Amino acid sequence: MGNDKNNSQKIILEPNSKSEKFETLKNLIRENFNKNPDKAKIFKNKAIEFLKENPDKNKEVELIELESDLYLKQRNYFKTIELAKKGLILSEVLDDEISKASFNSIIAKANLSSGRFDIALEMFRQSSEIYNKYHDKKNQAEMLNEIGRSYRKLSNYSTALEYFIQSMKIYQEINDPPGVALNLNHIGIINIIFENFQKGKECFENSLEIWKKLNDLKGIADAYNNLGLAYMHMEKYQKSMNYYQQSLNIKQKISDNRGIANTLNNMGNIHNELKNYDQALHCYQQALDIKKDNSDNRGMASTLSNMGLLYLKIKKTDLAIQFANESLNISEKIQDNKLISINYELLYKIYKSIDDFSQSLKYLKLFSKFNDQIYSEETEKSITEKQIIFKIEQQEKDKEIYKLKNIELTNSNQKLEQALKKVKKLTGFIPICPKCKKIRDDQGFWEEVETYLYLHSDTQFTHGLCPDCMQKYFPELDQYSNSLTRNSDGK
Amino acid sequence: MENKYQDKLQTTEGLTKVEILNEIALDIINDSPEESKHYNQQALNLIEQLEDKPNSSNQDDNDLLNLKAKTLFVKGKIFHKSLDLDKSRQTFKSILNLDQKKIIKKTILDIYYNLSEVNEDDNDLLTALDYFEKYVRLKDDIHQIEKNRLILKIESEYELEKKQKEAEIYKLRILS
Repeated sequence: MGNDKNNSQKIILEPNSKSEKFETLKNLIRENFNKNPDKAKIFKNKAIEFLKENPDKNKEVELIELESDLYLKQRNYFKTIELAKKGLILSEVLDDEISKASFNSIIAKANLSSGRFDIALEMFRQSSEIYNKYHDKKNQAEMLNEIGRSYRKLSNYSTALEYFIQSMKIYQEINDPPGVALNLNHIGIINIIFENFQKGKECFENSLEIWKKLNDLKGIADAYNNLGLAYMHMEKYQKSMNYYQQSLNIKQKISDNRGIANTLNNMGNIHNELKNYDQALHCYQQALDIKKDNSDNRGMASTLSNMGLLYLKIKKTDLAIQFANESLNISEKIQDNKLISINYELLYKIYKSIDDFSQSLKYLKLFSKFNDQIYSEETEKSITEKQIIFKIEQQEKDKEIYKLKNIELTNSNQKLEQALKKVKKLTGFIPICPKCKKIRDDQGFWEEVETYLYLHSDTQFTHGLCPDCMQKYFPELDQYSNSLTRNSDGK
Repeated sequence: MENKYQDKLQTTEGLTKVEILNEIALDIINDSPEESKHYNQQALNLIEQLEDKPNSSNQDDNDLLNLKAKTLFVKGKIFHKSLDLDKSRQTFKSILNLDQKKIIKKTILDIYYNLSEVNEDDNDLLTALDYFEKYVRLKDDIHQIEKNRLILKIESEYELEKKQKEAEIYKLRILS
């Protein structure tokens, strides 16, 4: 067994070609990045040394791309953006548009996670356009999905829905079932937000079918959880509970702890609705324990607050106060104004239920003060979000205007060029016969002046007689015309 | 009294004068409650005179009613400052007896808040809590209305720009 391990290590560390060596180093960086950052750093330095010995700008781009992506997964957005910008400059130098699209996408993802939606949207769009240009459908579909996610975060659900549908259609076209299932999930959630619970449920069912075919346990568990959510909104609590239970079973199997805690919390809510308070408390407690293990403070505060509310319902006010205060402490520590406000409201209700009006009034005043703050923040956020959406739409319109103006300009230029060509023909030397006044064309044929000018310019002819020709060819008509002129003068 | 008020009082009349009298009364409420009471009384007398005159429009009636509510509110606050809690409570409550549909929500909000404060000072905590609950509910409504108004304003500004740009695109499409 030990020998096998040594052999495989040897195989990894002694690759056949330079390319393989670089790929191996990249894999080692990827493997150790989270588990053993010091080791990852050593492999990164080796990769840099390798590139010094074997200069290759494309490989340099690959290394930056890998590292920035790893930082993104680690949620170190500052470092992600810093590195990806470096990569972006390098791909500009190399004129490598696909790498440019990839770095744009990484920067956009980091901005999306840091709440800078306008930058994220613009960069996702740029990437999408590049992928579209190079017919890279898979990446284009991914970018459209990301644009949809950005709009969802901006609470512009109808535009988000449009992008998820566009993304899903491309995934269907290239036969990429996970992509389709992922979009179905987003489309389902937006339908739930729009209160189209039936449609939402259907999306989750279709998504479930795909994950089942792919035997993707995480996907199946998420789809079950979402189905539980849909049925909960439809107030079909028993069905909802069944789906949550199935989701929980799978999440336990694949040790998805965060997922387990969320589903347990959802199950607690259903038990609460069904007035199975003991079971609700049991679910909340289990969720709380997992969240504690994961140091998920926000999750802990939320579950503690749920438990406080439940204790208020069953009139165990001492425990209600204890849980609400615990939740409040954590919320204050993590400065989550929304959770702080929820707990103030809960404490006001608890104290009112036991006729402690002084305490109740105190917490109601605090609740009101925090609500004012939340109102200001939310209003500002809503306005900023609206402005971002409008700004993006305006930019799109400006782009179209620019494009159309360009077309107009190109057309005018073409017309001008054509006119110039014609003008050139007439401005050169034109061989003309001094006797009959015929003109010789490029092919050597002699043409009448009228024919020549008609063919080589926009000129058209209308016929009349000059006085000399009139006298020469029609003398009697000329005399008659002269007598008419004289009579008219003598009048 | 400061000169700025003196000048204003001499040059104004009617509703504007009532507004200035209220402004003065609120300005000096902490330092000289008695003097504040005097200006408030002047404002109330002026309102009575204005009420006796036939008004030209419903808008004038509404303005007068809202100014009366505001003046009574100042009166309630003066009583509160002088620790005459009963009279303060009665005055605030008398505003709630006026036609509430015509009174601006912000004034009602201030009254709920002050009624809660007066009752708290009077140690009637249940009533204080009751008024504070009303205050919180009304404030939520006002916030919602205000937020929608702001968003609507931005949307209409944007719509105008959007239409202008669309017209330009339409024109360019015809040309190209």
